[in-house]
Amino acid sequence: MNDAWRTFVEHDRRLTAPPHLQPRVLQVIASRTPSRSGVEQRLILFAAAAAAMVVFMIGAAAFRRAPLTGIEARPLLISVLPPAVVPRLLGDADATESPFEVHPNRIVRHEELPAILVMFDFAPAFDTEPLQLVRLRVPREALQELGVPLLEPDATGMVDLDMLVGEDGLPRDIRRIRREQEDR
Amino acid sequence: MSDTTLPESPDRARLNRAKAGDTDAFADIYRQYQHVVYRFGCAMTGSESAAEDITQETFVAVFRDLARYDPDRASFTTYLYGIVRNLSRERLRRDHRFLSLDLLGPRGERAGQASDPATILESAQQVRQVRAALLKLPSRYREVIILCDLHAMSYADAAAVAGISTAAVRSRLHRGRQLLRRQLSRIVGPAPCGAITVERCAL
Repeated sequence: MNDAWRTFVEHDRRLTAPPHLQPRVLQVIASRTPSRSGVEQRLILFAAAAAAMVVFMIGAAAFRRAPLTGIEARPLLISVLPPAVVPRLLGDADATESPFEVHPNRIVRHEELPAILVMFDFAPAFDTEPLQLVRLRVPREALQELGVPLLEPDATGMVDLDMLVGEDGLPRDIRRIRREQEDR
Repeated sequence: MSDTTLPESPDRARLNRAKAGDTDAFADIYRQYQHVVYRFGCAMTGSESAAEDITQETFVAVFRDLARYDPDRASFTTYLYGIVRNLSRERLRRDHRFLSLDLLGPRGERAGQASDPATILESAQQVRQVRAALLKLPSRYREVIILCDLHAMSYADAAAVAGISTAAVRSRLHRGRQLLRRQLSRIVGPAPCGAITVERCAL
């Protein structure tokens, strides 16, 4: 048993790392940038986190300023709605008196809602222009004045619409959305 | 138990150059310490390939964190042993479900100076047996045996490396030697009656 231990110790004393390991280690080390102190690393992490937060806040603010709020909404609504209600919608009247509601999820995908699509003949045809689908809730009378009468009875007097809007703010097409309650 | 001596800590000028990113200075440090790190990795894991990985990871970690090393708090040797110990234990935790295929017997040029094939074979078998016995010990006992008996480290230094008290080192060393002796007697066979006493035993 002692002999075995002594042999083991002798063997262990002669062990060295294989020669191919040194260039490998030095190569890995050379490929690394000089080490930074802990304070520097924390500062870099903090700066990166702050930058990410700023980008996120800018993105969130831009998302809130969707086309139907503020100035961007003006051309679309002016072009679609009766002149009498436009000033109120644009904030000239009390907001509670506005006959319009805009859905929180205004922008929807085409395939979500099967409905009849009515094309506005006054809108110029742009075959390749990018369009945006906007969801609105408007009074039935507004549609009648636009020449899109709805024959179905509606207790609330409000209808939900999807509207295709061009880059110039003018509507291209409009379709009615059936509410879930109506479907039942 | 072993007459190996630990390498001297590198001088501060070389350490500072390595801290500043001087790879030549770091290569000197590597050459000075590679065998210590490799031996510790081999003894802890029983695998040459694992020891190579541990050696590489250790020196990369040393290079990465060298700026944090304070020579006034601990010697460089203790600092290095602390890193290689942690990496070895991490490796053992990761690989505990695997069985090493190279339970290190001496190979080729490492078999020693003996030219007699029978002696070489016998030595290789003895090394394998001790290695197997050592690997059967819990790592907390194995590491103090490696540090104190193989690397000739003082109890105080071993305590600093393992993060335990000197008394705990003594206790673990005593218990570890007992366990190792028991394992060896199972593998090698019981020693002839009267041939080995506790006082005379190298363990």
